[in-house]
This record gives sequence, structure tokens and C-alpha cells, in this order.
Amino acid sequence: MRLRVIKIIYLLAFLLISVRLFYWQILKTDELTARAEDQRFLTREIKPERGSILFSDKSVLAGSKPSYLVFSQPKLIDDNLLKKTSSELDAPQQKLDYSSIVSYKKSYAQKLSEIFYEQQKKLATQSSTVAATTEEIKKEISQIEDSVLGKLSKNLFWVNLNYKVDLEVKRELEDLNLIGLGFDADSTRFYPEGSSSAHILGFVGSNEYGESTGYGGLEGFYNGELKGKKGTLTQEKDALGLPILIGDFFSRQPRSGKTLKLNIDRAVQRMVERSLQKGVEKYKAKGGSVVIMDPHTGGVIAMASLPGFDPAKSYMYPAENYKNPVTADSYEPGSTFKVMVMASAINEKLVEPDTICTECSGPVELSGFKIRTWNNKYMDNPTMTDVIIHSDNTGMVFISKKLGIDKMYEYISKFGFGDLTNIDLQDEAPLPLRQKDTWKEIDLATASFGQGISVTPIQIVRAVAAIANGGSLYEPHIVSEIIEDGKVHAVHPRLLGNPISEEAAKQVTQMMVQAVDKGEAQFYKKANGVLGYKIAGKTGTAQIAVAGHYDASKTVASFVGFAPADNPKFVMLVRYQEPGTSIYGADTAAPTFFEIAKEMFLYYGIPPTEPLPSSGKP
Amino acid sequence: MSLLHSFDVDITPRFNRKLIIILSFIIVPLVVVEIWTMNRLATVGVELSRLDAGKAHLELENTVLRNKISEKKSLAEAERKAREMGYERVSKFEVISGEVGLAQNTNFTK
Repeated sequence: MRLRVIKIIYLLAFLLISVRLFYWQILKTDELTARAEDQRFLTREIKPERGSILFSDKSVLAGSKPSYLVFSQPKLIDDNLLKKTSSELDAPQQKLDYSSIVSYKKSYAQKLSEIFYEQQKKLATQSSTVAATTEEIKKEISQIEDSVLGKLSKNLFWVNLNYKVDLEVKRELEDLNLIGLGFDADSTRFYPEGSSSAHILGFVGSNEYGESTGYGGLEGFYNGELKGKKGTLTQEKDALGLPILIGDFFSRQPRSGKTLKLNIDRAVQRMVERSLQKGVEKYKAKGGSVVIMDPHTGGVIAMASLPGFDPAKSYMYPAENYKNPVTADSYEPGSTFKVMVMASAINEKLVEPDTICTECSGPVELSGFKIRTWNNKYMDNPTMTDVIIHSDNTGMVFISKKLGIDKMYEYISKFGFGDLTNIDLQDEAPLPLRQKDTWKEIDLATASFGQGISVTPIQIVRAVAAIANGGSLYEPHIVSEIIEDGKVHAVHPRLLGNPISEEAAKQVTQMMVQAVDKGEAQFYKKANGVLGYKIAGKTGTAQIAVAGHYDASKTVASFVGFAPADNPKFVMLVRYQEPGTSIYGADTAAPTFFEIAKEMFLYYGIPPTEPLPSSGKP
Repeated sequence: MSLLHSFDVDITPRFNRKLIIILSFIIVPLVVVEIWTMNRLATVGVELSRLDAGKAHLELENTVLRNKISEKKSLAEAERKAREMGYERVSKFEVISGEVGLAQNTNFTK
């Protein structure tokens, strides 16, 4: 009987254990597996390296360099100090107490603050208020020290002390052998050419999740390609936290970002930036832009704007500097637009280069407005070529009347105005044309000489490139190749259309050559030593609309052209915003154009083709 | 009651003792070897970490050197060095056309 009772008890106990095991091993299995994995496995996120951006000669424009987040573990410091004896620390006392911990942390913060200050000084630009006097230096170091000490005094396991510190700074900090000081590996953008090509590049910042993200320019447009893919490494770990070789191991390799190779020529970009800087200072302009494109492919060879910024220190510049004026700034193009209108009329066979303007002997009255030439001088029976040479607004009105609103609108659209160029930069601004049915006679007239219509610099260059290359409109692009794991994906030129015929393009080219040789800019062609070259170009001086009316003292002065005219190597637009020394494109943008063109002729080894003066000097 | 009886243990020996002893002499050493090997492999994690660290260090050094090369190759650096060495930018140039003779034959008699 007693045996039976014992057997029953054992059976019940067995059933109880089974039920409990069922609860833990079946019902709670997911939760316990997760907790066990957390204990057993060591998971590390492996950040990918951001893709590089290369010039056309494969030299680095933007790369990545290692950087570190510096952290400290205040609780670890406290525990360690309480355990250590005075022989291992600087403290003279035999027994440590909490006042010694405070004193150690103060010394800790002081050592770190000096190094952090040096790093901060290295990152500061010349324009920022970098401490100059000893007093100011001491004050700044003291502020950093207070901030670090404040963080170390917190009752936390982990505090962030600084981020994006260089490898050299990290090594300096490691040499201090401070308790609880650690480093998390990261990477930062690296620009060997300094602030060159800032608007082309954009900059890299952090998004709301703290991940590196590109903003503006190529970094923004190609962020998906450049950022790569994170990897993870999950390994079984032992009691010391070290990986177990024969344990479970799951890894996903990070994929580095793709590399972009550009059409941008490093040497030409440098020439452009230097000349633009010189020009903005010389002509006392508020800003300026230069863009150069290959007319046969749409490849952008150089692009620069001022005011600019340093992509490595973008946070030190006002946000308005980040905008790329070449793609995002709208302006009224003025007389540079005349060549497109002339090309349209010639293409329609409405006029020819020697067609006489019968309405150009004085101002033109239209809808209550009087349209004059820029210098209020008028010619008797000028030809269309003369209209371009002398930038005659009345001649352009004559042409616009022949075209009519429908044809004018059609050709403006064919040349790509009103649409995005789809250049591969993030910040292009859309500029839709006003609806055709809202156009009046005066709008037709003013549009013919580039007022009352808004364009971006890249649209002008793209349109003039169509004249330069015989009538083909190409999509502009910065990137020529995307390289991934050694495989090259070429970006091919994209033909958008043919707004004009080859014959019309040739005729307008000849008119533009004459405009350079006989127009207002002729003196600067000689002064800049490019007489032996056939350069096609057009000046532009567009008044800026202020509070509903045009301000004659404020202009956008520009010059657009291409050379050598018969087989152009480049199309270039130079533009100054509100130049102070002269409002005219002929006096400001044209000289800069010729200066850059001369350097490009030398760089590309393009010999002069026109008869030179007897001295042999162009 | 039959369920309770099913838990009664039959302790009658069924196996050959000799076989058990022989198998023990084979299995026990194998178990010992396995435990030793597993333990050794488990602690090789230290070596693995060291190799990983070495690889990471070399990759880091490569990146640093690559960046230094890029900096030295930059145009800004080249311009600075050129200026230090006394070079100037080309501002004037002359073009020698095909019309100008550089060298030509002359007839001469002894």
C-alpha cells in the first residue's frame, strides 16, 4: 500500500515537472531563445565605407577617412578607482575616497579638453571666431573641460565625449591610458582638393537616425549608390566576450558604396575657380558662376559658383551658400537669349544672316511700352548679323514679330527652357514657362531679348551647346562612370532632340563669331591674348526686377560662348550677379571668359587658327 | 494498477560485461580527446580576435596611406610646391606657325 502511495506521488511529481517543462520549453521558447542568444551571441554592425568621387583623371575629389566617436564609462571609472591602490595612480594617499575620484576626473577632463581644443582649432575656418588671445584660448579650453567633466560626473555607464575625431587624435588619446576611455570606429568624408567643387559635391551630414547622408549635389543625388550597405557579424562568445571559433557564426559582409568618376576635369576646375574668385573681387560682384560643358556629349567639364562653402566644414557656412546657383538660381538671361531666338527664326527660314531689319531705326512702341537699344543708338537698316553684333533689342522685336507667339513658345520649349535639364545634381529647381495663352504682344517682344523669362545657367549652356554642335540638344551630366566591385557602368550621352538644323546652327555660329570680333567684347578678346582663335559668343546684361520694376543699376552680367567655333571643345557661361565696377557683361563676364578660354587652349594644346598679328602673339 | 506496475524496474543484467569494458576503453579516450579538442578550439577565439585586429589595423593603415597619397597628389599641394620652388603661371605665350623655318638645307661648295 505504502509502495503504491509512493508510486502515485512520484507519478504526480513527474506530471508536474512535465507540465512545467512544457511551459518553459514550448510556451516560453521564443522569449528564452532571444535572451539566450543575447547572452551567447556578440553582434557587431559593420559600417560600410562611403563610395569615392573621382575627377576625370581618376584623382580623388571626395574619399573617406577613418574617424572615431570618443566615449567614456563613468561607472567603470568609479569602480576601477575604488579598487586600485595609490601605487597605480598619481594620488599620494594610501586609501582612495570619493574626493580622489573627483580629482581624477578633473585631471581626466583637463587632459582631454586640451586635445579636443586642438582638434577644434584645426577644423575651424578662417572666417570663424577662432580664439586668438591667450585669454580666449584658456576660456575655450575651460569650457570644453567643464563640458567633459559634467559628462564624467553623471551616473551613467556610457557618455559621448566627442565625435569625428581623427586617427591622430585617437592615438594621442590612447596614449593617455585613461580608465574607461573608448572609441567607436566611424568614417568621415575627406577632400584632398579642399573646398574645390563644393557645389558639385554637396556635403555629407547625418539624418534623423544618425546615419551619414548626402545633401545637395552629387552626395545627395547619388546617396543611395554612395552609402553602401551595412554588414553584421554575429558570433557565439565565451564568458570573456571573445568569439568562439567553432561556435555559431553568421556574417553579412558590408558593401562599400559605389565609386563615381566624373566628367569634371581637375585642372580646368581649378582654372575656373581661380578666375572666378579673381573676377568676383575685381568686379565687386555679389556672386558669380561659371559652367563649362562638352557640347558633343553634355558632359560637364567644370562648374563653380561663389559664394561657396567648404564641404568638410559645411556647418560653418550659412545655409543659403549650399544652393548651387548653376542649377537652382533663376535669372533673366538678357541678350544671351538672343542667339536662341535668332536660331529659331533662321531655322524657320523667316530671316537670314543678311536680312535687313526695316524697323530698327528708332525705339519700338508696343502696347504702351517703348523698347530701346541698350545704348539708345540705332542703325539704319541693320542686318540680322548686325543685330547680334550690336545686341539690338529693336532688331529682336522685329524677329519676334515674324516668329509669333506660337513659334516662339515652341522653340523656347524645344531648346529645353521650362523643363528640368535632369542634370545629376540634387538641387535643380524647376522653372515652368508661363502658359502660352497668357502671353501678350509685349511678352513676346521682351522674351526675344531675354527679359521677362526666367532660366537657369545650366539651361542656357545646354541650349547654346545645341548651336555649337550643329543642332543637337544633350542632357547635361556630371558623372561619366559608376564603378562597383571593379565593374564599370558608363553613363552615355543622352540626346534629347534637335531644335534646329545643322545649317541654322552654322549660320548662328558665324554671327556669334562676328559678335565677338566686332561687338563690345572685342577689346577684351585682344587684351586676353586670344586673337588667333575663332570664338563664338554673346554678351548679356539683364536688369534685375526689384519690387515690380527693373532696377537699371542692378544687373546680371553674363557671357556665353564656345570655342574653337568650327569644332568646339567647350561651351562656357560666365555670370556675375550685380557687378559693382560695371553693369555690362562685355566689361565683366567677357574678360573672365577669355581668360579661362586662353588657359583652356593651352591646356588642351589647341593652336590658333586665325591669322595672327605680325608679332606671332595671339 | 497496471500503470503503476509499468514503472517497476527489471534489474536483470542483459549485456555482456566484457563488451561493455571493451567499449569503455574505446569510447572514454575518444570522449576525452573530443573534450580537449573542443576546449582548445573554444579558446582559439583569442587568436582569432588577434588576427582580426591585425587585419583591421593593416586595412586602416592602407586607408591612411591612400589618403596621404591623394593629398600629396592634389593640385592645391602641387601649386604650393611650385610656388615655393619659384615657378610662375604662364601668362604669355607665342605660337610658332608652320611658316617659320627652324632648320633648312643650304648648298655650299668646297
